[in-house]
This record gives sequence, C-alpha cells and structure tokens, in this order.
Amino acid sequence: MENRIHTRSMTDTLFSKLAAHQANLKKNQAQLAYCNEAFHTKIGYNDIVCKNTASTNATLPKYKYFKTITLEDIVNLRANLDATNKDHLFWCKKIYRFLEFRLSSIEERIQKNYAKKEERITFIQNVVTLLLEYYTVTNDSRYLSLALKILRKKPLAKQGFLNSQCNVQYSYNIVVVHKLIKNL
Amino acid sequence: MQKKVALISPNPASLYSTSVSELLMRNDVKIEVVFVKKFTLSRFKDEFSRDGVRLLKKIWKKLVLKNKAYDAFANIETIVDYRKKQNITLKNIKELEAKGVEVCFVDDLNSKLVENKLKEKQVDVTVFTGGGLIRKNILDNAGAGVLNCHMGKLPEYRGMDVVEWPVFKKDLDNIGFTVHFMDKGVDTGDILKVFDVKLIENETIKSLRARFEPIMTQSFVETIIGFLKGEIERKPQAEEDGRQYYIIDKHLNEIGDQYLQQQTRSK
Repeated sequence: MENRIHTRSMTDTLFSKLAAHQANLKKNQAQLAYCNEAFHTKIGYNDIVCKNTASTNATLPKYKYFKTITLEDIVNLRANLDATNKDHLFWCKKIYRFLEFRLSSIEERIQKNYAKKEERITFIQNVVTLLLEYYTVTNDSRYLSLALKILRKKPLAKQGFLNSQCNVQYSYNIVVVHKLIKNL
Repeated sequence: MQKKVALISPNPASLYSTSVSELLMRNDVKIEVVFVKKFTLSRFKDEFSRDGVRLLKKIWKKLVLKNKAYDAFANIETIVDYRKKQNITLKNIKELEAKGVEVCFVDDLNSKLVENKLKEKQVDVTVFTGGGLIRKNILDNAGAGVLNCHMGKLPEYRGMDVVEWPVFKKDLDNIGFTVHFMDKGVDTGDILKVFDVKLIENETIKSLRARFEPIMTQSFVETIIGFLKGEIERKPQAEEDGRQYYIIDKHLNEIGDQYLQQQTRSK
C-alpha cells in the first residue's frame, strides 16, 4: 500500500505542543484511568509502561442513555473491548451517534454525567480514548474522525487559565492520535 | 398527459435549483409549486450549530460570491459553464411566477402550509434541491415521494461529506452520486439510479465537488424524467447495506486531498 503524504497535515495546531504532551504524559502516566497494552502493541507505541488497577472482567450494564454513563463504564468497556461482542458494538455505536449529533453541545451535555469540570474532562477524554481504541480494532475511520473533532474542543482539555497543565488523558490522546495518523 | 412536480429549494438564487427547474420545464414537466426556504436568523442558528464555520464559507460562496466562486476552476466544467452551454437563463426562482408557477417562501419546509399546498396540487413527484430535513407529513403528500440527488454512492455512503470520505478511505472507485427517494432515515430511501464520477488529472476535493454539480444537475433531471415516464424502477435498500457518515475531521480531509492529488497527478 502506498504511504500517505503528511506534509501539510503535520502543521495541524492540534499537534503544535506534542513535545509538551509527551512530557506531561511521561510525568503523570500513573493518573491514566486505564492503560491498554494490547492497543499499544497494535499501534506500535511503547513509550509508557502500563500498570493497571482497573478490573478487566467487570460486567457491562445495559446501555440506557449517554447521560447515565460513568467513567467506570468507559474504563470497563476499554479494558474488555471485543469487536465480536454485540453489547460492546452496541455501546460504541450509541456513544458514537450521540456524540456526532451533539458535537456542538458536548460541554453542556456531559455536565449531566459529572458536575465537576475536572471529572468531566477525564470522562470525555476517556471516551475519546475508547473511540481511538475502537477505530484500531474495527478500522472504522469515522471513529478516528470523531475523536479528532472532540480533541479540537479546547475547553475539554484543561481546567481554565490558572491551571495550565492539560489533563493527562488529553495528552495521552494527542500522543496516540498523532501516532495513529502517522500509521495511516 | 403532462407530468406535474413540486420543487423544494434552499434559496431562490441557487444555481442548482434554477438549473433543475429550467431543464424540467424544457422537458415538458409542469412545475406546480416551488417551496423556497426563507433565510432567517433561526435558520442560521440551527445550521450554524450543525455546520459551524463551514456554514459561513457556504454563505460566502453561494450568496456573496455566486458565479465568481467558480473563477478558480479554469480547466473544468463547472455549473456556471454548464448553464452557459445549455443556455439556462433562469437566475432566480421568483422569475418562475411570471410563467405561472406558484412560489412559496416558507420558514419551515415541514409546515402545515407546505403539507396543505402539496395536498392541493396533487403532483406526481416532489423534487428536492436542498433545504434540510423533510418530515413524514411532507413525504406522505409529495406524490410518488420526494426525490433527492445525493452526492455519494448509495447504499455505501450515506450522510455528510460523502465526496471526502471515499477519498480518505482510498475507495476511489466509489465516488459518485445517487438519485433516490427520501424517507424517514438518512439517505435510506429507495434508489432510482447510481452514477459513477470518474477522476480526471490533477484532481482535488474542491475540483471534484465543483465537477459534481453540472453532472448531477443533468443526471438528476434525466432520472426524474425517466421515472415520470415509467422507465426507471425504484430499488429498496437495506439499512445494513451502508454506513452513515458525518462531517470529516479537517486533518483527515487534508490527508485525503493529498492522496487524491498524488493519485491523479499528471505525468
């Protein structure tokens, strides 16, 4: 397969602070909600060491509404993601459709999931990681596109002007999505 | 007997809507009524929340630049060139009133007013040239249904940015458009005809989109006429046969555009 050309795309402002994100990730990697070793192997990423405490065999509840989803559900799904599992596919499809439809109002919508801003950011950034992992498993590039569109929403990256450090899950997503695009 | 249609237009000066209207009339199709969606603040807000900055670009191109928007395409046939070649003179839907066509400017294409007007006119089919979602009350009173020309090949590519998506996916054999009936789903209605668009040298996403317009106009009109004459049958599509796409991320679009340029570069 012919390689992609990335001359213009590498100027994307999303990656303008890639080195800072790599440093943030290296320093704070213990704060990641879940670290998916299989995903890293698949995309050829080995810059961080995975030390997980999250359960990898919890049962996924029945999908109801996006507003009722918790970080625990997302981590559970990420840890057990199986492209042949109908429930997993259903969850991912529902999340995808909700986020595409509500892209312009995601910031307000996720207030129903979490009241505190910091928790909201960690939650939505884990959803983005799920989209990236799902893309890697299924090769459905719509999920990669949605992940990129959410990552462009700056208020979902950090907590305001005084706290300038980006959420570590956001830094992780930037580093990983950069790797995924290079692999295209 | 002369066939009767209703037409739905996104704005009165749309090159696409006016071209389709004039070509239909030349082919002895009677346009009973045209519904034009008014440009209001609430429409702007709705469309801006969905499309964001791209709406501003669209307004700039369609309402401000108009024909000048095509000046950049010197080596391809655009809708402007096509109109000249076909001697299409209709510039504004309003001009149709002088030819006995009723033109209704409406806030909502799904309103009771539109529904009642369609019931009154008893058209053979309704022709959609843009303006947003069409609801069941209109679909059920639009004669045989509402015909749309979708910029992607169905059933594979439903939804938005369906020129960009096959390019990004390196699926260059699946670039084309489809004339189909609208239904309650997104591009899931019965198909009349699927058309391929072949790539030319030094293609870009922009040139490809500009080339689509005249080809779609011509093919849409031919297909409508074929259907009205009973020469083309509708083929149902199954929901699972295709995927619904949304706006492609700008980074992925650039990658696709570069790939397209690389694949069509003249030697």
